Amino acid sequence: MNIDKHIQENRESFDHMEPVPSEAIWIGIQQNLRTRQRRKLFIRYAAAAAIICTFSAPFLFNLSNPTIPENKIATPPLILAQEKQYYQLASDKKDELDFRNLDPAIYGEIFSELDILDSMYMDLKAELTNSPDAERAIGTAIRFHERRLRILELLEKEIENQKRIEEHESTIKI
Amino acid sequence: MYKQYIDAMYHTVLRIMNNSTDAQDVVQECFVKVFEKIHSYRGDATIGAWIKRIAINTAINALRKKKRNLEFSSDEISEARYAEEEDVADNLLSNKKIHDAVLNLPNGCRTVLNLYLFEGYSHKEVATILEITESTSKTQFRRAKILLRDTLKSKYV
Repeated sequence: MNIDKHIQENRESFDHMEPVPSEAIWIGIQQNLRTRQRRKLFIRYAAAAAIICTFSAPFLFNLSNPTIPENKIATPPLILAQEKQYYQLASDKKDELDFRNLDPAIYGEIFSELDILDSMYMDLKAELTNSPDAERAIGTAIRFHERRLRILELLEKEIENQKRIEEHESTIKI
Repeated sequence: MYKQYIDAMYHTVLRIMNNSTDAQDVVQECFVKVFEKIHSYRGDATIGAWIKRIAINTAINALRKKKRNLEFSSDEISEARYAEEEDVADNLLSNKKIHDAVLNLPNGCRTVLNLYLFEGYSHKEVATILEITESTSKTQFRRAKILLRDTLKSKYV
């Protein structure tokens, strides 16, 4: 008989010739996907943090630059209320996500990034009283909160994705 | 999806890589790509065919990275042998014997034989996948069959 014909007629049987280490491969796939997800998350948050630094750097520089002429404009109450509102939104979102229940092995790098942002905001706030341009300073603070809120919203989505993956994994038995 | 396709993908890759450790790594990489790119699956082929193509491309890239030559040699076989009778004794046509003999073939012609005979691609498609000419695909296929028959006869007759 012809080999071609034999193989073509028995193709499916040739897919069961060797024991398949399917469980080991599945574990490897899960680990690989988690590592990639962590890397993606870190890159995304690092990029967001870099944007914040870019936004705030000129302002922070201006705060400590004595050559900037003083221009004390009274801060309009509206902008102050806005800043307060954004701060509250970001704080509420952070409380809602409850970091204590999140796995530091997955989200640790993001927590560090958020800590850095918090610390930058505290510096900004401390210097606010000496600012030559309070309105601009508060505008920068608002952008801080907006970015922080955006990071927290992205984190929330990633937590939901992670939950979905874990639920899917728990339904698969090899 | 994983459970449905793992056996077929593992054996497809094993026949290309010729090594279970490498096959395991490649299949893992293949499914990671599948899960990451599932949203880009356009439905113009069956999902099995789509996954198989990813598995084959990943395996061929892995072979190339490992610098295991996908050499398409035409040595050792005389012109006269290409004209030989193709049939082999029925007792040699056991799936296990053929599977083991295929794994002993040289990389280049083994890959062509796998893609054409086991995976059902045309010589034109094999040529595209392996970046060779259609004529090389045909020659390598014939070479693989001669070597396969020789291996079966020398081992089991």
